[in-house]
Amino acid sequence: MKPEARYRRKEGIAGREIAGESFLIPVCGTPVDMNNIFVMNPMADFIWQRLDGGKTLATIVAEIVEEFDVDSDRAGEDAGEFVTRLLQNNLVEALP
Amino acid sequence: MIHGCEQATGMDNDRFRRELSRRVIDRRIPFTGSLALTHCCNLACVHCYAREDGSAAVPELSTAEWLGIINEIKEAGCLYLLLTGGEPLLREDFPRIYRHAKESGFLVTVFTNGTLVDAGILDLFSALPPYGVEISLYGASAAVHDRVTGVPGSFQMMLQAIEALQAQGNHVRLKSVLMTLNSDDFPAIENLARSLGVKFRFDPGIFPALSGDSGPVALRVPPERAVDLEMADAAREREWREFLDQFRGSRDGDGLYDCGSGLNTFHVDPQGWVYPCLMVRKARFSLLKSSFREGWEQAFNDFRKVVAPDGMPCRGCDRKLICGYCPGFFTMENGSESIPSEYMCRIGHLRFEKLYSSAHGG
Repeated sequence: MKPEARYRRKEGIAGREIAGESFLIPVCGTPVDMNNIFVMNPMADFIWQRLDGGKTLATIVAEIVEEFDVDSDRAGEDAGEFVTRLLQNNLVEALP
Repeated sequence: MIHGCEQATGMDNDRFRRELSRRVIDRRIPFTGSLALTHCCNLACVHCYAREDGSAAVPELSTAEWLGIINEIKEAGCLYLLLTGGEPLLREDFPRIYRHAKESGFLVTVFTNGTLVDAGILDLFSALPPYGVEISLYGASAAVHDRVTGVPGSFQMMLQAIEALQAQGNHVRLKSVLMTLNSDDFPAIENLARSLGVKFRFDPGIFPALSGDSGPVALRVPPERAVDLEMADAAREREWREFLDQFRGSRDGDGLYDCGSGLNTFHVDPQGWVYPCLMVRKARFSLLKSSFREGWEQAFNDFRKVVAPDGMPCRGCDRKLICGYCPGFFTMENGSESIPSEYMCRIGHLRFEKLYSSAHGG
């Protein structure tokens, strides 16, 4: 996963805040996708909000380091892992 | 550490679900709701508790009102949303209401009799798949099913709907009510569900209609027969036992209403009255007169504090978990929330005996 890569949230996913949790609810897709409900912790939510296609992964990692008590290696690792899972579940797309 | 995200696939992540459930109850969040979009139905099922009660004469909520309610309950924290009726697909604006609920981020389940699933509904569900579709099946043949629904051809239409929904990959579940008219058709009904590849459940609980008509009660199957049919399926018996093991002791408090009714559950009727759940009519507020949040915070507090009377046999009864205990049902049957249904009480005892004896090799 390259630091200069940019990702964008796909349409058809609704974000909900309930009982202190951030949910990603699939709106469209296949019926199987309807069971793929994601619950994000604060850092995942922080990353999700920034996946607008404008910021590079490196920029997002820098913002994580500013916001959370974590070094850049750890932030890069976790952001990469999270974005990979989002890609696998068709929730974000990589921009060229 | 993990700074990724936790995926609760279909909320099957037990630890997360339990923790979330506790928080939802602690904060009294209306997490689960049902919207009865209409009282109207194109079938005339013999056992229906929601049969004509005069309320159909009162105008039902408009499209704009339903959309507004969906916005309000979203804001209040509802996640699981059931669209029901009557028959919800009878409303011409069903697609608009459904689409709005889906796009708002609810997990939407639709209860339908399956006779009105046309190409338009299939296209809608293809674009925006429901979390689940539940269809009522009352017989393994047209002769039995249509006798219960009172409408010739309903069985065939329902079967076509199931197959079409299944072909799209939708999560279809079937449910039935056990009654004198179809008890001989079990387990053929279960076999039909199995052959269709869908989950199936049935319930022997038949109660007087909300209008007070006690006619449906005559359709009850003797408790012994009902429990024999329930426990004839080894997998279902195992599920009952697991449920009992997991939750035994969880309803030992002295509150009369010890379920989620009005605590994390609500029901909205076609005129905009909000009830604590589908069955409990003891408290209500109108969404035409107050916001959902105001009503939710004020209208359901008192009834939740009602204590089960000292002489009530359900207090401390270890069958309470599996008898279908529901003060709402008790009110419908006996006119009192604290006089239990003898029928369901007997079923609870028989279920317990069956599970207990088979668990100990008896």
